[in-house]
Amino acid sequence: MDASGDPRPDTELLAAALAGEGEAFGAFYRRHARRIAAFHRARTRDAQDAADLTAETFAVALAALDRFDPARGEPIAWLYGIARHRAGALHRRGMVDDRARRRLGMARLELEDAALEQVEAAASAELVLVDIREGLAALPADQREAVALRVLLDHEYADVAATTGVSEAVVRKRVSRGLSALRARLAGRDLT
Amino acid sequence: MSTDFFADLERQLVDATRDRPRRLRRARTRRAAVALAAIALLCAAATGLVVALAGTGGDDARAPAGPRPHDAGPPPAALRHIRVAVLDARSVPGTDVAARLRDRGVRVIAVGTAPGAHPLPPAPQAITQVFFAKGHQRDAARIGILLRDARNGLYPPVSPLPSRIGAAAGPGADVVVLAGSAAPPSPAPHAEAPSPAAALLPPALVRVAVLNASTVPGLARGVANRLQNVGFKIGTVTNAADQSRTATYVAYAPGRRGEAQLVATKLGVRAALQPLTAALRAVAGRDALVVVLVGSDQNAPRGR
Repeated sequence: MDASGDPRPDTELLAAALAGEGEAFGAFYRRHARRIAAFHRARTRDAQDAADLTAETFAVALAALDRFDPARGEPIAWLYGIARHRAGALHRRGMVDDRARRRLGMARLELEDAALEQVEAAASAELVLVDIREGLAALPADQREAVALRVLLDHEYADVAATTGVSEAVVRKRVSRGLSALRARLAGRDLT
Repeated sequence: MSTDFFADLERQLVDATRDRPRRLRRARTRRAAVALAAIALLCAAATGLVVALAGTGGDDARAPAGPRPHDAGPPPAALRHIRVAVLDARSVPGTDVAARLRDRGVRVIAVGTAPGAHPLPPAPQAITQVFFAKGHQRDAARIGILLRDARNGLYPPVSPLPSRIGAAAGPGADVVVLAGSAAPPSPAPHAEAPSPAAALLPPALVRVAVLNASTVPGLARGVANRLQNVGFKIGTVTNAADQSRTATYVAYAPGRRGEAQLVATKLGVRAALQPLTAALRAVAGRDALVVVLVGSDQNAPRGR
């Protein structure tokens, strides 16, 4: 479940990016872009602003790459720190900063409707994913295992039954109960 | 326009990562150049200001930086960029306002008489007026200071340029002067200037506090309104400690006797000027240059 397509941890990706490996920063970006976009979308109520803030967040990170110190925390925490700061700057100045993008020679991306929808979809999907992750964690262990194997990893009921050592009917029951618990959890959330 | 935000941004970031040191270096150079230009500009502006002050003898810290009417000297840098059109609206030709402005280093780009057939300016005008094009209010104020009427110490009114006067003046003027017959006769000695030595501040820069020293309610407010109508800036308006005065008098901050005289003239008060005391200043506020103590004599019906 990693959009980066790169097995290296964030710290290594950032170190490689600092050495000039474009793909490394690309992978770091793919791993976190949607979550950062969701973070901004939840605070701005506007997809174009959220996209601008996302671009500026990563541009600030890229420009300040040499100041990232792995000893002081995870890259994702650092990235969120930047994101929070950029979002605050929007509220203080009433407009999205583009200084880091200008320094790096990155043109501002004007989004067409398709791209705006893409940001919206990514944002809500990310928020749902967070809920599902938390919902899964809240399930009883046997249901969680059944849902994970059957739904997320797409194993056949028979295989799940064999792996977990219970009958297929019991697996079906656990998956069904687990899913309805998740559904109930998501229903309590405003998905509009 | 982007149709795939995440992919487009990724491409930008990957490129920028590969090229990062060079791009950041370039941005630093750019910023340094901008900073240098800003510093150079500031230096130039500061030099200009010093020249302006030196040319006009900035002797009073409270006075606005800028030219003073009585100082000859090199034309202040600030005046040279103001493009002025002068329209003659006098019945009797008098002083050449344009020549006078040119003497002071102002660029007069057009001189005309208001043609009789033209609806504006309405002929003949008694007072000189100064109009400013959008964004040139300060410039108009500077020109206005040069055109102070030495006979009564008054500055010409400054107002936005009406389009018809603008049309009469022609294009390109920042400031249009409508020279009235009361235009200052000459830059020569000001025989009856109310204030000796010091130039008067324009009323808009003179903050006047008005204290009611009578028992008539609302009297101070009425006086304040009258002063405001003739262009003074009004400060504190309140009751004086002593409310038993019949005769109005005007108190002045050090060096502001001339302004106090002007206020007194406007109120029809004769020979009632006093220096401002510390006790009065405490009531009137520190920023008041002139304080009017309104006595019950101001209660008389006004009419003229």
